[in-house]
Amino acid sequence: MIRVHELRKVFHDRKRGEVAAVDGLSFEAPAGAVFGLLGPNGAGKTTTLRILSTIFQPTSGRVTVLGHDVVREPHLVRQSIGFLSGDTGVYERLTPREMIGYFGALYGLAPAAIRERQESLIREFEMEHYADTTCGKLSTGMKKKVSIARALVHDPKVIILDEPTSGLDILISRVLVDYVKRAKEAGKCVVYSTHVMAEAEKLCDRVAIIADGTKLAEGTVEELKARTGSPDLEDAFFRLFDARPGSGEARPA
Amino acid sequence: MIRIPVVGTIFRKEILDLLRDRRTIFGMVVVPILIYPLLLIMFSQVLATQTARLRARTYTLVVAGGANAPGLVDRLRRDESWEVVEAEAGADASAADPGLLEGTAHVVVAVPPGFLAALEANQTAQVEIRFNRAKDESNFALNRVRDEIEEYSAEILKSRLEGMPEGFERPIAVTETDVAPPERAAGFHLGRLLAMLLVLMAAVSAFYPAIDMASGEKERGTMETLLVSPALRSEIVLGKYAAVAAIAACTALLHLASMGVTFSYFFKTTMSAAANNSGLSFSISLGNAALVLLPLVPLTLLFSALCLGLSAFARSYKEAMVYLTPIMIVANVASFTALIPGLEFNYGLAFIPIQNCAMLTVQLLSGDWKWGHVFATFASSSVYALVALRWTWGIFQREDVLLRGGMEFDWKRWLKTWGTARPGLGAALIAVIAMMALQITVGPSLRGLPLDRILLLQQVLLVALPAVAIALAGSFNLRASFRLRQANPVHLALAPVVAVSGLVLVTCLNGFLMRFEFFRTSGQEHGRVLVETMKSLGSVGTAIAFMAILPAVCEEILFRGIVLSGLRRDLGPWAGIASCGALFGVAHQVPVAIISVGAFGILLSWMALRSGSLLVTVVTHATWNALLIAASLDRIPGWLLPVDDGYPAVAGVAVAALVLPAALWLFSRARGTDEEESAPPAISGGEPSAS
Repeated sequence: MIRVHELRKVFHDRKRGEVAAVDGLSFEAPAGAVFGLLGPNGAGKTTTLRILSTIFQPTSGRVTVLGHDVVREPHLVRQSIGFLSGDTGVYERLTPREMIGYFGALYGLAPAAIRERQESLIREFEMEHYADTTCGKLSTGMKKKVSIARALVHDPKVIILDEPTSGLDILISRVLVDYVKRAKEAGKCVVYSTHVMAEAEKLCDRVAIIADGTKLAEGTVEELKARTGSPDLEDAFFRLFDARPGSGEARPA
Repeated sequence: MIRIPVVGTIFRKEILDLLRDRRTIFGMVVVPILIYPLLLIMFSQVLATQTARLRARTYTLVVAGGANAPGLVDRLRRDESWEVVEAEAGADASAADPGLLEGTAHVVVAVPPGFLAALEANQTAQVEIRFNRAKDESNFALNRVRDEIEEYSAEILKSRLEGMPEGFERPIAVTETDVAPPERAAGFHLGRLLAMLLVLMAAVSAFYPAIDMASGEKERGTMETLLVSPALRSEIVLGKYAAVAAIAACTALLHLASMGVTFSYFFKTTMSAAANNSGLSFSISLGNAALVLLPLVPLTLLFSALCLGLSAFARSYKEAMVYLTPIMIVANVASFTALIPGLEFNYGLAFIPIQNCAMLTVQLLSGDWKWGHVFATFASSSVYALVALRWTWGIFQREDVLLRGGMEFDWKRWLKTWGTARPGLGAALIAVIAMMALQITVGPSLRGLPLDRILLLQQVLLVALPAVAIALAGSFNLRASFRLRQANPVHLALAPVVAVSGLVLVTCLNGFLMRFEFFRTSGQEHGRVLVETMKSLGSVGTAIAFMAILPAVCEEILFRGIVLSGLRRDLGPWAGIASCGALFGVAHQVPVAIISVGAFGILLSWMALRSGSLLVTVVTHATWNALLIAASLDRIPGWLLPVDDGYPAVAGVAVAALVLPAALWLFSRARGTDEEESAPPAISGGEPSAS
């Protein structure tokens, strides 16, 4: 479903000059599975996912989503993905219902379909009692639910979640994790980035561990634990991270 | 492909979003409705109380030498509101000055000793009034004392003239009759004020919605949410632009309506008496009021696009404010030009953004306007708005500006890459607008200098310098931008041939156009001014140096330099050639020149791109100008170039019509010296000039 081949993204930084945030990353995420991108802050997770969602252009490499190239057919890619990150806020002056309706219209849903999705998403994420209150008055957790509903309004085949549980209490986190499990069973392709290893261990079918923009290892959680001889994924991550080539600093391109 | 329904969805959401914002409602509805009545009430209250206070109080009047004019002093004493203080006898008139400065005395009347004697001898008696201009009370007291003395003087005159016939003292009486219809006169004065307010309102009204929709969206963290939706960047920009323009137009309309209602009420109730006395009526008809809305359209379109672009460029509300403030200042200054007396609207002015709308408002309200001016203003403003929108769209494509904050200006990088950039459409337009704005603002102040110096400064300071300054500021590559390359000798040799044959054909075109009244009056006037200038320069040599070679060099630096380079980069070769020619024609500001000089401009632009060297077009341009000078001095055989606006002889036209295509064909065969120009436009047979 998602193919990332030799992806490279270089930013220009005033102090450090050219910096490669992602440097030769390749992976494939299949349908009906949750693919985890694991790594510390600054590893290149967010940059990779922003390229997947066509917000950033790759410097080089090839990325396709459902066969659509992110550079040549960005609108078709955006049409088929649901994207959620810490940076995708909600419109504070719209209500959750209007928020779902607006994005439903942007995804080209018919008015009847929009109404149907508004009802089902509000029910699914238990937003009934604040569905018509403007988002500015809602709590962080409630806003996150609105964000999730917004990302899923067009029932996308590919769901990209960038550290979706950061800053959330366990109740809201559970809503999200439950949804990811259901989506996987429904045959969707889920890409999930996190730095919380326990979450990844519970949720992901395959994980790629990345640092400094490159992939250190990839496999199922069990494979990675076996390869490093670790009792859990967190331990496996530390072993892989400490054994990586080069020091912890970003290498200039 | 832009999908209209998506644009509509974004537009509706942005309007809903903005209308839910208390700040928008306050700025859009509350401020316009309340501010004018409140201002007026405050103004009239303060005015009334101040005037009453000035009237009610008593004024201290110091009389020095009162004994010299007992009659006058008695008159002054009659008024209760004067507190008359006699200065010590023999004291100097300036003895009371400290009191005037401190405010303890308000006015001093000094009567010299010979006052009565002069009156009795039927001569003019002297009185001095000393006052303090820096104090309102003193000014007020001055007016009253002056009135009193004039009344006294009139009485004395009357007694002197006793026995003389009526009208003896006034040999000639003048009556002035204003033939302007009352609404035109009112419109003329009101129009200037309205023009300023209109420009200001259109700018202010677009300010807030634009900030909210671009930098506000970034700051609130919803930009990325919007960008991952399948809406195209162009659809997002258009939807937001439509919303900004709609809100701005509504706000400006409310401002106008509120202002209109307030002021008409004010004039009806309090000012009508005064207005009748001054012979001015401040009522404008409903039709005229509707006309004022016309310039509001291009103004709103332009400001909305500019504000949205700058706001998208900024990374936060605060930064957007910093970027938008200069726009407000520019708008203000441009609107002030509507107040310059004697500045006439013409087709050149119609191409200066913002100012054209201000001037058009004045024209419309005075009732003395042309559809051509309206159309030119709309067309140029729309083009500028489109350019600003395209720029905004470009910003929405840039991931660094949209997500990673604004642009960081990197001095080191800028220095390192200095002189490598290429001018684009924006630089080309700014160069032409700067040149025209300078001609209008700085140009008139050159008057009074010797003629040769005027021509030199006009060309170097107002034409060539802006082009070079913009190239330096933009860190453009000077060699590429100005085509500073060696010329192919074949091109150089053909340049005069093209000039002669091209000029003969363009003279035909010109002669044809001059048969129409529309072109003839302005065209003949323009030609007359040129011939006069030429004659007052003295020798033919000076005329050729200052009116042929100098303009050729400077105008080519601007038009076939930075303007053509910018237009060619963003519009492609043919549209670049056509628009450069059109701008060259428009810059000459005479209707007939827009076509005939425009045709010449197209020819020059094609030659510039084809040869790659500015020298070729400078030679062509200089030859062309020199031929025109020689023709007007009757040094060229009439069958080739007639002195007046007639036609060349058929033989001359036939020769030119054969020579020009041949010369152009040879020209396009010779190698250009622009190594970067990948596909220079070549011609196969016909000629590109519009003759």
